[in-house]
Amino acid sequence: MIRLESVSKSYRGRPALADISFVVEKGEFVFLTGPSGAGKSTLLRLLYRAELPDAGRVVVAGQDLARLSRRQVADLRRRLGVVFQDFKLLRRRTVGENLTFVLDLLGLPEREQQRRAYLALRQVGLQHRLGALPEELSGGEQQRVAVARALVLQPDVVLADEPTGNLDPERSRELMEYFREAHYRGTTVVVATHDVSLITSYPARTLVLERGRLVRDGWGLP
Amino acid sequence: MRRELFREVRRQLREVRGAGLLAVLLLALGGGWGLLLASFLRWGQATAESFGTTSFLVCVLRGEADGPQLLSALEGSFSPLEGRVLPPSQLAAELAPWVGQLEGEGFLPPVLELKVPADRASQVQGWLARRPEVLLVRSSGEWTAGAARALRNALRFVGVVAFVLVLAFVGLVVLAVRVLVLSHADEIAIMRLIGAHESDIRAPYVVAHALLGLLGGLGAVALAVAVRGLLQRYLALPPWPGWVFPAVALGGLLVGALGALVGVRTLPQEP
Repeated sequence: MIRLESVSKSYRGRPALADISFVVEKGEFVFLTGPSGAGKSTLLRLLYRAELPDAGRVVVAGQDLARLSRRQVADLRRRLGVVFQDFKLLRRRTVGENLTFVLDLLGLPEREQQRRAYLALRQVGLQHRLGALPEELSGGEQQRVAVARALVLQPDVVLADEPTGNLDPERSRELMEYFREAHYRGTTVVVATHDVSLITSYPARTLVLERGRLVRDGWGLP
Repeated sequence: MRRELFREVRRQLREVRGAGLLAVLLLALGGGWGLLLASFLRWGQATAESFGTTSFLVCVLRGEADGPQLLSALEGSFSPLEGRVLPPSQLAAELAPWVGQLEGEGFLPPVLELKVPADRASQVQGWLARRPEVLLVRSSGEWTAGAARALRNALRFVGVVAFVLVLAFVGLVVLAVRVLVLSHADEIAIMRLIGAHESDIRAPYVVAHALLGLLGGLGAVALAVAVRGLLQRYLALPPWPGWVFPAVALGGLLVGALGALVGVRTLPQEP
């Protein structure tokens, strides 16, 4: 589902990622971890094609991301559920509309959009905030809305960047259960986190990045 | 993008409320002027046509006795034409309704009045001007040409005003859309990141401002009908053909959409 071949990326001459290669099979659950500045977010940005690598090849869902037209990039992103570190909620739209927006892009009927949005919000315990604007929510609530928006699409791949960063342990555990459920349904899940306890609680394949290099690819943490 | 599109259109219309109202007003004024201009043009044409086939010539004669001789000479050379000699007393009587009863008619000259086909008026006028018994000759063609020239100039001015107002509408729409797009730059970036096509992003701006244009077009129709109603007491302005009103409304819609398309031609790029 995801393949990186000798991928490098640098910003103003400072390397963010160096010679990264790995494959994530369809339906796999993978943690991406490492200290702050290791390149986790940069790697995820390459996967949803917010950036292009300086060298190497990134293939997602069988598509070489460097060769996609703008329209094809949009079509690819509709198959990805991305949880951004800074949530990236649409501030002028209500919580419900943030979810129905992505469903509308898929061309789903209005009633189905409403149904799916409600169920996704109920799953993250925010069905009562359907009509609220993002700015009326706490950081944790916004993060849960971002997760609901990513999962409501029933995407092929979920990419989550520090999805539990603003949550208490109880909410973090719940959130990981949502990702696990998606994984059990066959969705490929990549979670970038520096929270070691999360990885020890939910053992899975773990890619460890340090200073832009992939230093370990194995099960759980040593 | 169906219901989502209309929700966003509603949000944008709320956001551009002030500028939007001003834009609608400008288009209504411009379109209304334009419609009235068209009506005036048709009225002008109809009036010109009514004068177009016949010209009136008026000659001031040296003496009353010259009139009949001149008339018979004219009938010999330029038949068919109609004419009559007005002695000072009859001229005074005919002028009375406009200028009141004149005290003695001694100072009024005898006048020869002719009705000739318009295409021969200048020829007859030239012939009369060379005659020694004629002191002065004037043609109605000169007056109608002057009036037509003045009307044309006035209509040209009104046309320019209408065009400038419509142009101002387009400019305002472009500006409003640019401001909206810039204030939504972060949302546009997010929309791209979650899979929106460029057309999904542009559509609400175009639809919202096309609606403003439609509103302006309908305003133009309402304004033109109201002003024509007020003028009807003084001028018999001809009515507009039935297709004009939908055409103006549609034109407003297209002009609004065009302005918005120019405004969203370039969207903020991904960071």
